[in-house]
Amino acid sequence: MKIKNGYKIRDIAGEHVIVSVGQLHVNLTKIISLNDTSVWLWEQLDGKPFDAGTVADLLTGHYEVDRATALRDAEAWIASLRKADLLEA
Amino acid sequence: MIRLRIADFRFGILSAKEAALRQLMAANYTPFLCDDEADETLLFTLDADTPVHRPDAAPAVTFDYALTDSPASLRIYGDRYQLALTCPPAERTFTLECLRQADGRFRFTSDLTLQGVVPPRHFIDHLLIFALSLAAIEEGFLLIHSSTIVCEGKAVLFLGESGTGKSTHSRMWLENIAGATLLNDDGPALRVRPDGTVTAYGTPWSGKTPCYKAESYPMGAFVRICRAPYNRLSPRLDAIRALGATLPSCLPILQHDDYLLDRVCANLSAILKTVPAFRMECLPDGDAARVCRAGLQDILG
Repeated sequence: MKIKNGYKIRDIAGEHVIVSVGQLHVNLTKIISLNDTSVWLWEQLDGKPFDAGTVADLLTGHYEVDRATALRDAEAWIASLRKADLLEA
Repeated sequence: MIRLRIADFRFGILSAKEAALRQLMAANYTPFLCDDEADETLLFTLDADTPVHRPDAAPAVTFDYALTDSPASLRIYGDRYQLALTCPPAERTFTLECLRQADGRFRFTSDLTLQGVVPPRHFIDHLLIFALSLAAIEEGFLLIHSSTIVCEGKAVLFLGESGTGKSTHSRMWLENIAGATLLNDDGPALRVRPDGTVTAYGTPWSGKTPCYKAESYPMGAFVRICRAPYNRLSPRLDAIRALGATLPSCLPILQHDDYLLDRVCANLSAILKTVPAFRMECLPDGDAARVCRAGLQDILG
C-alpha cells in the first residue's frame, strides 16, 4: 500500500493536520489530526510502498517497543489511515 | 474607473462600459464605492474588457462546480488561474484570469463586457470575490460563508452547510435579543492583522438578504449551527474541532491548490488563535437565540 498523492501535513492552530478537500461539486472538507508519531511515520513512508511489517520495523527502530506491540500499533495506524481514505491499494 | 473599498482594501474595475457596469452593480456595491478617494493606492485593478485565452496545455487542476444554476469551472495552470462561469440560456461564458507575477502580486483580466450580453449580477459578485480573495490572501483576508450578527459591538458568525438554518438563527437573534443587528447574511469578510486582532466586515455579498453594510466590528465568535430537537451551546471547541467547524465555510475554490490552501490555513490559524468557536445544536426558535446569547456571555459581556 501507499499514502495517496496530494496530501500534505499542515500546522494549523498548533496542530498537525491533513486537509482533505472533496473533489466533487459539494464541499466535503475533512480534517484529519495527526499526533507526533503519526507525523514521523508519515514523513518516513510518504511516496513509498509499505505494509504493516514496514511500519512495525520503523516503530521498533525508533521507539522502545517490542515487535508484537509494534505490529499491533502498525495495524491500528494503517486502519485509521484507511478509514480517512488516505491510502491507495 | 470604478473604485471600491471592501474590508479596507481598495481596488478598481477598468472598463469602457463603466456606466453599464455601475448600473448593474448599484444595488449591492453602492455603500462600497470610494470614487472620491482617487489618490489612494489600489491593491489591484481588474481590466474587464480583455479576452481570456485558454492555454494549450492541460490544466494542473480542474474544479467543476455549480454556481446556483450555472456551470462554473476553475482551471489552474501553474501561476495562472482561470475561473469561467457559463450563463445557461445563451451559453455565454464569462472568464476571469488571475496571473500570479514574479513579485507575488496578481494581475486580473476578464472578458466580462465582451460577450454581447450583460453578465448576471451574481457572476460579477463571484468573480470579484475570487479576485479579492486572491489579491488579499497574503494580507490576512478570508471570506467566510456565514450569517453574521453584531451584538454588544462584536461580530458573531453563524456557520453551517446551506439549509441548516444560519439565517433563521440570525433572525431569532434580531427578534429576541435587544440590540442585535444583522451585518451580513452570506459572505462577510474577516481580516487578521499582524498584531493578531481580527475584524469582521460587511460586504456586497449577502445572499438573498439585501444587507450591504460598509461597516466593521471586532470579531466575537464563530458558532457552527446544527439542527437538533433541543437548544444547547457547546463549550469552546478545541483547536481541531474549531478548525473542522470553520474550514468548510471558507471558499471551496481556494482549496484546490497548495499555494492558496496554505494561505487559507495560515489565515484561519491566525484567526483561531484569538477567536473562539462553538457548536450550537438548536431548534429554529427564539429560545435558541437566548440560549446562545447566554452561552456567549464571557465574550459579549
